[in-house]
Amino acid sequence: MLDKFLWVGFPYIALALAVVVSILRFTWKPFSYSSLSSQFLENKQLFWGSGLWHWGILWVLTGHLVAFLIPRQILAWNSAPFRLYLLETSGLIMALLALVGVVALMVRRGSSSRVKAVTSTMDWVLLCLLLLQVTTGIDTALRYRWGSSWYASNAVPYLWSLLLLSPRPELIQPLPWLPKIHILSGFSLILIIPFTRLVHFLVVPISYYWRKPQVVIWNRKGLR
Amino acid sequence: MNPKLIFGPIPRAARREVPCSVISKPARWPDLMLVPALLAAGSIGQAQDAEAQFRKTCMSCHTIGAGKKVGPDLKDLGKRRPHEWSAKFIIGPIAMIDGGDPTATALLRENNGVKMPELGVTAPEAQALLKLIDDYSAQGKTLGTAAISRPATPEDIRRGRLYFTGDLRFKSGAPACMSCHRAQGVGGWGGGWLGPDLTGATAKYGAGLSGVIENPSFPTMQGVFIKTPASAEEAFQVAAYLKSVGSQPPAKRDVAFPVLGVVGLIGGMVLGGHLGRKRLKGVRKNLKPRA
Repeated sequence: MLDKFLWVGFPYIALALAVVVSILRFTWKPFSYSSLSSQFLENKQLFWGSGLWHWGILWVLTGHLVAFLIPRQILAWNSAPFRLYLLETSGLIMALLALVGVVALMVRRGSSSRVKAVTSTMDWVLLCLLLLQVTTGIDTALRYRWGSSWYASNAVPYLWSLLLLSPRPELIQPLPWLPKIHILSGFSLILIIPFTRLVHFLVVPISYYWRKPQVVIWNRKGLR
Repeated sequence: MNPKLIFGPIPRAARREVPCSVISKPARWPDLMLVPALLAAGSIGQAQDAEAQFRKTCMSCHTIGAGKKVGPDLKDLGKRRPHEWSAKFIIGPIAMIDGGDPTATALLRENNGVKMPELGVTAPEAQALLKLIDDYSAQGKTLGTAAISRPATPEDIRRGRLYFTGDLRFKSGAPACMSCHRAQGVGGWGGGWLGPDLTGATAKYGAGLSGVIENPSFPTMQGVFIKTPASAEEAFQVAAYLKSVGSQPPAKRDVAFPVLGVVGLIGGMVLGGHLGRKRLKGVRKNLKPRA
């Protein structure tokens, strides 16, 4: 019963809430769709925290997404041990960068009084979940190698089975608890997307890459 | 020492639930017309369930009509032994062997001392399996592939290692063994750690190893290999490789992977710091004169 809830019920609840509440929030509070940047309040620590976190997690997330979309090709890539080691090592390095990044973000949010003043409880919930997600992911990669292969062969069919409304929890049930916690915290993160500033990844301003550059002037000399 | 097959209990497959709405109200004429169709559909469903059960629990060691594996070919089992005895043996083989049942003891002798393991099969499941065996025997159909009886050659061992590492891919597209398992002789940073070290697998599974690879009855593997099984030849060659390293100690955990990860982390931070030094000045410096 618990297994059914964890691997079938909870993922659907998380996905449904994420979709519905995200739409409602976008409809009712469109201006709240933001990372609520605190760069103006503190910038030095943010460079290390935000920079390392985003570079690391984007690589790792892309890896998860690519394997989700083309698992057979990932297995084919991994069929040469050198390529498998290359993929695993690059993933581990980027995950470690993300770990340092999220820890730096937590230290910053706890130590800077200006940032503390704009920090909510949900910010801490989000950061703690992100830390749990990255830590369990790295630990899984080290303890139960080679995750890129068995993620493609075991976890990806499970994720597809959820999307196709024909859940196959039996693919996840026999796995050790560590990757299971990783999967559960992943669904928890999906669940809290619309309730936190994580919602900003749904409205990434990618047009910045092709729009004309702008100079933002913070202070004009002699104006005061 | 006689090799013994030791499996853990296998979780029960998800059962097909038969809707009972049809019988929860008084039957009318159109409802009654549905009964034969429902019965037929139910019997097809049961046959499919029994076949899935056979693949899961029996096919590592037995076939129906395809020849001997670790255990005997089960074709015409119903003609050789009464169903009551067979069902009892399927449900609790160890108890019958240890209890000195004469037929079970004779079977143990005939099959090189390989004991049939406890498979967690219930009485209704055993009956369904026996019906499946009867039906296949009567129709002349086969299920499973016979064991390869020729001795393994050095080429088999070489190819088995390549299947293990993934350099040779299984025809079904199944992942390489080293995704989850390790064994001596893999090389590089070794194999995976999700599953056990297979260096000593031959000592554990004996002659049954090939069948276990071909039809693994482990929950973690079943979800994957039920759709993409290794062929009998591939399984035989992987088993030959594992047998060739069987006398060596278990593989050690390689530390190069985490060490390289930490080195990469430090390199990444140094690079990030270097690239980010002029992050606020670089763009503005060029744009301000133009503004």
